Parts: sequence; C-alpha cells; structure tokens
Amino acid sequence: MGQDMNNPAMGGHKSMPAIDINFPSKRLFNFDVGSSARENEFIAIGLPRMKCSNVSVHYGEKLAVENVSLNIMPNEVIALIGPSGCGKSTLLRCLNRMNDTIPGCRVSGNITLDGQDIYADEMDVVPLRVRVGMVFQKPNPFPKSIYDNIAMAPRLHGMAASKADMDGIVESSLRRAGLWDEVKDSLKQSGTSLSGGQQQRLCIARTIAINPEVILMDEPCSALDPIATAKIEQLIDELRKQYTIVIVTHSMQQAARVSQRTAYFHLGKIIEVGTTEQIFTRPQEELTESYITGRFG
Amino acid sequence: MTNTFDRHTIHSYDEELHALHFQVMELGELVLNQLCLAMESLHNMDLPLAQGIIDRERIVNEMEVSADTVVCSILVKRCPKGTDLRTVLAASRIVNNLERIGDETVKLANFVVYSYSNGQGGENNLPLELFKLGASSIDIMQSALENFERLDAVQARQTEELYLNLGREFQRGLHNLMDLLQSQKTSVADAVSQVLIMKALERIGEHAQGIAESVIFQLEGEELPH
Repeated sequence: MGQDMNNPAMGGHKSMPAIDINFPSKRLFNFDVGSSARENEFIAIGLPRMKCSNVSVHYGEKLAVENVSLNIMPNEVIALIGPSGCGKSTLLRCLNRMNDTIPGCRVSGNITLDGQDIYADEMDVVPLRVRVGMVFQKPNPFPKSIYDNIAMAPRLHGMAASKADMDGIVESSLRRAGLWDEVKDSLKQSGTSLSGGQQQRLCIARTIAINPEVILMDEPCSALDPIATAKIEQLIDELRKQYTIVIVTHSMQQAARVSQRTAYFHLGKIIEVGTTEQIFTRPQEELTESYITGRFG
Repeated sequence: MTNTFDRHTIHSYDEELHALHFQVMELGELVLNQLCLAMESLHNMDLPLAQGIIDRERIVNEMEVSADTVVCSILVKRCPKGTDLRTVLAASRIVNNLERIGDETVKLANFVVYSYSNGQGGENNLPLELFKLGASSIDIMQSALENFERLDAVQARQTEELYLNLGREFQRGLHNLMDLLQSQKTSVADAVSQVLIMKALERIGEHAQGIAESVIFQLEGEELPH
C-alpha cells in the first residue's frame, strides 16, 4: 500500500468542542492590601479578574494589537503565545499600563481589573501596579541587599508598621518564592550576587511582597537554565493558588506545563483562546495548528 | 481543514512522521497477511503454514519494538503538538493493536499444531460459521488498515458496523455450538477449541476496531468510547 503523508487529511479535522475548566471560586490567600469586598465579590460570582474588550494598541502609525478581547479569570495561569512581534508582550504591558511610558503609544478599547477601568482618568497607575505586578524577561534586582529588594516596595506603600512586620513580609515573600532556605542566612548580601535563577525568584518575591492580584510575566525563564526554569515553573504553579498569572512565553512546552488556558496571537490579533490541553492537542484554527506544530512561515 | 502549511519548518520532522506511518503500515500488512494465512492453515489444516505463522511472530514483535522506538524518539526530539501529537499517539496505539492481533493469529496457528500433536491433524472438523467469522475479522482489519493508509475518518466510522456484525456472528456461533453440544454432535474438547478460535477472531475484530478509532482520533481529535 502506498503512503501519502502530503494528504491534506494529515492536517486533521477539528470537531471537538473546547473543554472548559473549573476555576476556583475563591482566592485562597488574602493579604490586607489589595483585597477588597468588591474584589471578593467578583471572585465569588466567577467574573474575570481582568477583562480586555476590543483593545487596540498603536505605536505611532503602527498597529501592534488589533481589537483584542480576552478574559483573565481569577487564580488561573493564562499563557500568551505567538511568533515574535505578534503583540503578546504589548498586550501584557497594557495590563498594568507599562506602555504609558512609551512615547507615541496609544491604547484604545477597554481593560478592567475587578470591573474597574484601568485606563479611566481617575485611575492612579501606582496603586494599579501594586495590584498588577510584573516580572520581566531579564532578572532585574535592585543593587541593594536581598532584604531591601523585598522591603523597598512594602516600605514605600506603608505596609509594615514595625521592623517585625517588615521582617515578616520579607520572610513570607521569600518563602512563597521558594528562596527563603537559600538566602535566609545572607539577607544582607547584594541581590545581584545571586545566580540568575535566584535573582528571578527574588524578583518574583519582590513582586508578591506587595500582594498583587495579578502577576504579569514576560518570558520569565528565557535567560535561565533548565533547573532554574523548573523552579520558576514550580513556583508559578504554587502562586496560582493565590494570584492570577499572565505569562508571555516563546516556549510552548512551558505554556503547556504551567498554564490552564492559552491564547495564540498572530499579527496583533488573538486567533484562538482555549484550554491549554485543547490548544496543544486539538486547536480549532489553522494558524494555531500551523504555529504549534512548527509548520509556520 | 485545508492546511496551507503542509510541511514543518524542520523538514526532517516530516520525514520522521512519514517513516513512522510507513512503518505502521508495514507492520499492518504483515499482521494482516499472518491472519489470512492463519485462516488458510485452519481451513487446510496446513501444519507447515501454521508453523511459519508462529515463526514470523518474532518479526511482528521486533517491528512493534522498532515502531515504539521511533515513537519515543519523536516524542523526545520534537515534543509534538496538535495533529502531530495525535499522529504519533495514534501510531503508537495502532502498533499496540497490531501486536495483539499478531498474538491472536498465533493462537489460531497453534490450534493446527495442537491438532497434529494430538493425532487429529489433516482433518478439518471446524464449522463453516467459524470461517465466516474469520472472513469478517479479515474484512474489519483490512478496512481499518485502509482507513489508516488513506487517513479516512469517514470510512473509519463505518468500521464499527462491521465490528458489530462480527459480534453478532460470534454470538450466533456460540449458540450453534451449544446446540451441537446439547445434541451431543460434538465433543466437549472440540467445542472448547472452537470457542477459543472464535474468541480469538472476535478479539482480532475488536483490535481492528481499535485501529479505526485511532484513525478517527488522529484526524478529528475525538476519543471514541470503547
């Protein structure tokens, strides 16, 4: 019998509906700052933590994100994947208005956090970035001690009434970032003296020290070795119990490992959003299929 | 879905998937041939033919191991996703089904060997229903392999009807056999042998149906209930 691997049928037909997942209805951890009755109300009735409606982003004349709508549910890890320049990092940066600092950047549409428009005139970006923290591609600890790296933001936001309170925040943050046992005896050591993987976990500890609701991660493991990557991924899995996480990654394996939902971007548009299992086994869109199977371009 | 991106960016990936498909087809052809020969050896009580089937089982097993190795290699090297993942998983399942069909054909061949060692060789006392059952299991397997070769999910869905029909023939065969036993027209020993042969043929049909289900999974992502 002859073989025909070029048969279009090899591309497969898509008939399975997306399987929805059950999101935990309650946040398991509540810290004083950042938690509010309104926030809890949103979680209890299963509303999105963040909601993007018809979001477009221009850099000058260039359209980087086009009419994107996306719900980000509480306590989920959602991965944004797609080829370079597809707009995933641009959208991520819109979620805590990091693009505000870029000259010529215009954001239209609507983005809400617990129902509040984050681009409303009355929205102060400083508390917004407390509620929506960010971890960058390259670890960027401050050139200060490990302790001060964590303590700086809580100090700035008046979260600790005493030295003992601050010590508690530092220890708790480092513990939740899985770094405490490695650095508890060297808290006065500079953060920059740590390994790349430890620095990234320090940055995550710094982010969670002010107890955000959402953590944005822009390729957080791209500069790390496989072991450091595994530790970050384990951390993401644990943090999901307390936080909502949006991660941009070029590693589809990583997206498959850490996320519950995945959104595929192409040329500034969202092509497909679904459960991670569905996107990587039964994508509904041809572009998604071509990208995840390496047939793209 | 019309796939305008027919080839992987890494062309050797296409070659590996192609080679796996080819390898599964080769194993399928060998096992189908074994099944046809097993029915022929039963019909003619052909001892050398039966012995050849038993000897070739080693090749079936080697080909299964070889295909499994290719599956593992693709999983490790390529971390397949989407259609590719389903293609590799389907191939692995089909290889497993084929190996088990191979085992069942050996059971058929062993019956011929047993008959000779028991002094009953050369005489075919098996009922016609049993050969009809054999022909049906060959039909199902042939159909399932053609579906895999052509990657035809529509036809693969129709294999189930053949399998249900085989099940009905199997039940009929059992009832006939019970009638014969009650009227003492056959010995208990012969009846047991016939039941074992019929069961082997029914199992072959079930594994062939499994192949058709894997084809549907590969093409449409749908897991059919067993």
